[in-house]
Amino acid sequence: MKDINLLTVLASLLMAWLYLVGQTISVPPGTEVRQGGILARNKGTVRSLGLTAQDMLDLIYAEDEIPGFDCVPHPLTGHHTVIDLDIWGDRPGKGQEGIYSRILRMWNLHTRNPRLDIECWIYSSPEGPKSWFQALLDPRASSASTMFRRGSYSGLPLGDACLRLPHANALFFRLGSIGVRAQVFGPPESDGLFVEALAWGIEYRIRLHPKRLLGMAQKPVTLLVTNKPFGQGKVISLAGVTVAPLSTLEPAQVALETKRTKMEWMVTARRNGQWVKVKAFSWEMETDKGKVKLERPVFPYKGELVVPLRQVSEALGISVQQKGQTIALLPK
Amino acid sequence: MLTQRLWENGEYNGGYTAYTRYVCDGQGNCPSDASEYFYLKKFIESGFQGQCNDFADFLVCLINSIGAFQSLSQRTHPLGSGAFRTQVIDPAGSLQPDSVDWSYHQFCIHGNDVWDGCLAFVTGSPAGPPKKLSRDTIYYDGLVAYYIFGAWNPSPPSGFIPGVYALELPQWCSQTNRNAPCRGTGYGPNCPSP
Repeated sequence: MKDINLLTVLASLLMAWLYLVGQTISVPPGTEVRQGGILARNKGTVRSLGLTAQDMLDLIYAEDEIPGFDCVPHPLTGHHTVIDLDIWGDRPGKGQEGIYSRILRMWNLHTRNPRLDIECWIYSSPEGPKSWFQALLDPRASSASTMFRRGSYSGLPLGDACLRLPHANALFFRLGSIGVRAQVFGPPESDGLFVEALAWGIEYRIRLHPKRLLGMAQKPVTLLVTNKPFGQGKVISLAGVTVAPLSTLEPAQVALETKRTKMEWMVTARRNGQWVKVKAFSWEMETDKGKVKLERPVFPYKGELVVPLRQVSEALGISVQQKGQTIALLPK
Repeated sequence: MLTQRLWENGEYNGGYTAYTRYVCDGQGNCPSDASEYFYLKKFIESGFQGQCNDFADFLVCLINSIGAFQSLSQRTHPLGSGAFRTQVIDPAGSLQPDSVDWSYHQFCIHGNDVWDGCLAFVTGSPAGPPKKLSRDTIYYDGLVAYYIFGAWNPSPPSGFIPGVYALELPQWCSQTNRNAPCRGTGYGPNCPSP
């Protein structure tokens, strides 16, 4: 009898937990909601970009996806995430002109310092982020404008255009109608390449976004493993390099072992005696033959690590053949 | 006390536009001594993160709102007329002490004295965030290593009180983004007529 009661209690707790975890934020136009460290408001009473709070959250890392950093409410504001939907959507205007939505999420290393910010703005047209870039480089508007450098920390082409502010570990990029800022306020735990790895993960989210934020510009990649399609929608090209979640390799007899703690997220992939170890936000992988520099950094997406497909596959003895937008993995 | 606490709790972003917008003439022209709008609500919601404009305007809000004395915002020189290398300074928040190049800096004044919660002097004296330091002597010596071009010429000469808003931030306007919502509050440096 006691066992049955205990099971009932455990089942109830599980249901409650599932409810809380699965709960999405609903923010009707003209309202403001505070929920679990998130402050969200919706100004779109007259006009709207058609995005929801969940659409904004889909652009950004989950609270527990950046090892070593905690996403806890700011002690003075009580939140770690701000979502603004349809700013200026409460005023009449022509179509979606002038409206934008924004999400800011703040993490902290252990305690308050250093802080890590990721902020995304979605405008109604590409002119929005272009004007923002002009302001960043305007010596009248940005006091450190002369310290901005064009391009990413690695030199790789992130977004349509990219700016970096090295002394402040900041990276800014724009892609279509979207502007993004990623910044870690201070060494020694951070450097520009870490910030850039964060940013590549945001570009992946933008390109994969269910609301097709880039319109038809994003061409899907079809991945075939032993002639069957896998990883549909999650395999894309980031500036010419195809990336995919590690799970897309599993049908090619790849075994995955994940070690995930608050400080580290590492996955070991094994196949026929060959192995690869990758870490979240790292630019290299360890293999049974030594360390290899990666063409794109590793980043998390919905509970998995996303990796450069060709490099990881070949390190595991899988040959990769590409024809147009179709990629075939051929286990040797 | 307010200056000290702002320096301890604020997060200097490294020097890029955040929660202020200059007041322009409606023809797309921004005067070099422009006053500005400060979007206080957004600054607070973002965890007190911003550049010198935001810190100076917030300190003006704090000092004036408790009735301490009539403080004002002021810049090192007219916008676009100079740039300087700082002494080694310790910015508010987690960024490390450094000597950096700034195209201007904004601080809080009362008379000829400066309060600045955006930074702390490291090599300058007295160490720590500047509180009631004589602007053109002690504060200047602690802040400025040398001028790259232009000269120290505090602007506007009598300072300004920012317009404080709890509204949403307007977009930045430009020649190609003329229809950004500039209506009535906040104009970007290139903003056309509202």
